Amino acid sequence: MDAAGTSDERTQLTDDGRGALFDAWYRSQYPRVVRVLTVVGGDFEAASDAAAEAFARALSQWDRVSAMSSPSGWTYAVALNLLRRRQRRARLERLAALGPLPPPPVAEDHLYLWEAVRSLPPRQRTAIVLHYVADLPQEQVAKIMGVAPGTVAATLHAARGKLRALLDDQDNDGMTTHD
Amino acid sequence: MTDTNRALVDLAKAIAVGKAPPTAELARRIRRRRHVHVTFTAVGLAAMVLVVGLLVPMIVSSGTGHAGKSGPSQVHLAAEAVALAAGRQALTVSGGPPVGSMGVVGPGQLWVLDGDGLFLSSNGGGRWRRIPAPSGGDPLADYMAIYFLSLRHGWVVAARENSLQIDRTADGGSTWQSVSLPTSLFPSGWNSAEVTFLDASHGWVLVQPYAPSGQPQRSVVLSSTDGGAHWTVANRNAPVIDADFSASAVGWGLGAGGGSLYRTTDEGASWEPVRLPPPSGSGSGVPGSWRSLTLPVFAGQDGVLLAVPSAGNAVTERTTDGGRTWFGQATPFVGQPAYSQPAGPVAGAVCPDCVGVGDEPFAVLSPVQWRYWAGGRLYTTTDAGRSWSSVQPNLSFASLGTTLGHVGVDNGGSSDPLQYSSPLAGWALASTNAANGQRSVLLLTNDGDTTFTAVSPPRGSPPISSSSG
Repeated sequence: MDAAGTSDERTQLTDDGRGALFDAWYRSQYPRVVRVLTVVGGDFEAASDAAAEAFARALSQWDRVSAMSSPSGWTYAVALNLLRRRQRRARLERLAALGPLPPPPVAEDHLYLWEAVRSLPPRQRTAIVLHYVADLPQEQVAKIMGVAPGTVAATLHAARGKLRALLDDQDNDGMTTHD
Repeated sequence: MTDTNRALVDLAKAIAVGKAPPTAELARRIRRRRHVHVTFTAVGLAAMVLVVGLLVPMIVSSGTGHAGKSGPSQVHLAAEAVALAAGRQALTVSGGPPVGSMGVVGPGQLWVLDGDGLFLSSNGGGRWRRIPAPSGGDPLADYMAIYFLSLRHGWVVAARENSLQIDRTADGGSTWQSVSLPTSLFPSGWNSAEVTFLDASHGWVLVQPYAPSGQPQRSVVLSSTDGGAHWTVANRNAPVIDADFSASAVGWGLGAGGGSLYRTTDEGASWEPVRLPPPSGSGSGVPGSWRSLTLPVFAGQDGVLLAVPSAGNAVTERTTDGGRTWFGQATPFVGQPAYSQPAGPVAGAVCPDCVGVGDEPFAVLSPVQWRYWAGGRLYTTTDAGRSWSSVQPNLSFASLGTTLGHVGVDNGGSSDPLQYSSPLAGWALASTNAANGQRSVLLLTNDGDTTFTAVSPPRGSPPISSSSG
C-alpha cells in the first residue's frame, strides 16, 4: 500500500517543484480519498464530490499545502469536513422527501462487508477507515479527527472488536444458510 | 494484517472509483466558487458595500419582502465582500486544540469539549477546569452527546465497547456514575444520540439506531425521573431525531429530515405533528414543507423557533400559550439554495458559509430578544423580530474562511453555534481553515458582538483531581 501523508511525500513534492507535481500527487491520492470517504459516508457520489472539492482547494493554495508535512492529511481533513457538512444537508433533504438512500457502491459479494462497516458508529468507522484504508498512522488519524492519539487507539480497538464480531456473525449465518 | 483489516481494505478496493477528474476541472471549481460568491453578493452587495462601516447598527425592516429605506430586506451571504469592504482588523486564531462542542449554562458558565477533553469554566472562559473522564476512560473515546444543566449536573451519552452508556455527574464532573443501555434496543448499532434534561431529575435520551438503506431515521426514546440513575423506554420507534422538553410531560421533537415539528404531551411516549402556519406566501405549513427548523426555545408559555422554508425568507414561529397555537413572521434572512442537486452544476455545492439548513445560527436570549448570524454580520432584535439591527464583529471571512456552524470534529455531537448568557455576553463556535484542515474555535464577546476573542482551553490542561472539585 502506498504511503499517504508522510514526510516522504513532502520531500518528493518540495524537491521537484510544487506546481508541477500537483497533478501526479492528485492522481495518486484521489482514488484512495474517494474510497475512504465512500466507506465513511456511504455515498459514492457525495464522496467523489467532496474529494474533488478538497483537491480543488489544495490546488488553489498549493504553495501552502505542498509545504505541509502531510498534504494528504490536510486533504483528508478538509474532505471529511466537507462530506460531513454536505451529507448532513443532503440527508435532511432526502429524508424530508422520504427518498431512498444511495445504493451501495459495491457488488453483491461485498455487501455483507459493506453493511458491517456501515453499522459501526461514525467515529469508529472514520478511524478504522483512515487507519487501514488510507494507511495513515494513528498520530495522523488523531490530527485529522481532532482527538488525542490515545483516543484513536481506543477507538480502533473497539471498532476492530465490533467488526470482527459482525463478520463472525455473518460467516456463521452464511454457513447456516448454505448448509 | 488481520483478516478483519484485510476485509476492510478489500471492501475499499471493491469500490470502482474511475479516473480522477482532470486538473482543469479542479481549476474550474475554484473559479466557479469565486463566481458563486460573486453571485451571492450580487443582489445585496451594492447596498451593503455602501453601508458597511458607516451604519452600525443598521436597521433592517422585516416581514415585507421589499427593501426598506434603511437597509436591505434580503440578507444574502456576502461574507467575503463584507469583510473586505469593512477593512477592519480581523481576528486571527492560532494555537489551542479544536473545539468540538460547547454549552452555556449560566452567566459566564459554560462547558467545552475539545481535542483534549471536557472542560468547565465559571468565568466565561478565562479559567478552565478539565474534568476527569467518566468511567476512567478517555473522555473523547466515544462521546455522542453531552448536556449540562448547570456546572454541577451533567450527562454524557458514550459508546464504549459496543454498548451505549449514560454517565451522570452531580458534582461538576468530580465523580461520575454510569448505566449501560441494553444492546438489544439497538441490535444493528446506532448512528447518533441526543440527551436533554428539564431539571436535575427529568431527562430524556434519544438514540438513532442504524437505519437500513431506504428507511427514514427514527429514534428510541428513553426517559428518566431520577436524574439518570434509571431509564425506561418511552418509545422504541419515535418519528423524531432530536428533542427538547418545555415541561415535565411536554416536549418538542424534530422529525427525520429536520423540516417537521412534533409534540409529545406524555413524556415522549407518543408524538404528534405540529402545524406551523407560515406567513402568507411562504409555504403550506404542513409538516415536512419546511427545509429545516430549530427546536423551539421556551420561557414559560412563550416559545420561538426559526423555520426555513423551501423558498423565500426564513420565518420565526412564536407561541404565547405553551405551543397550542403558533404564528409565523417573516425575517429578512434568505435561506440558502438546496445543496444536493442530482445532475449538472451543483448550485449550492460551493457554499462554505451556508446557513439555513441544519446549522441555523439563531439564538434566543428571551421571548423577544433574538440573534441571527448572516452575511458576516450579527443581527439583533429586541421586539420579537419586528425590527433588526446589525453589528459586524471583528471576524474575517476572507482570510480565514471562518464560518459559524457545525464544528469540525464529531465529538459530543453538534451544539448551537451561538449561545448567550446576556445581551452582551455570548459565545460562538467558528470553524476556520487551518494548516491541518478545518478547525473550530470558541469565541467570546462581552460587548454585544462587536469584538470576539478566542477562549479555547489550553492544550494539556491537567485534569482536576477528585478532591478538588
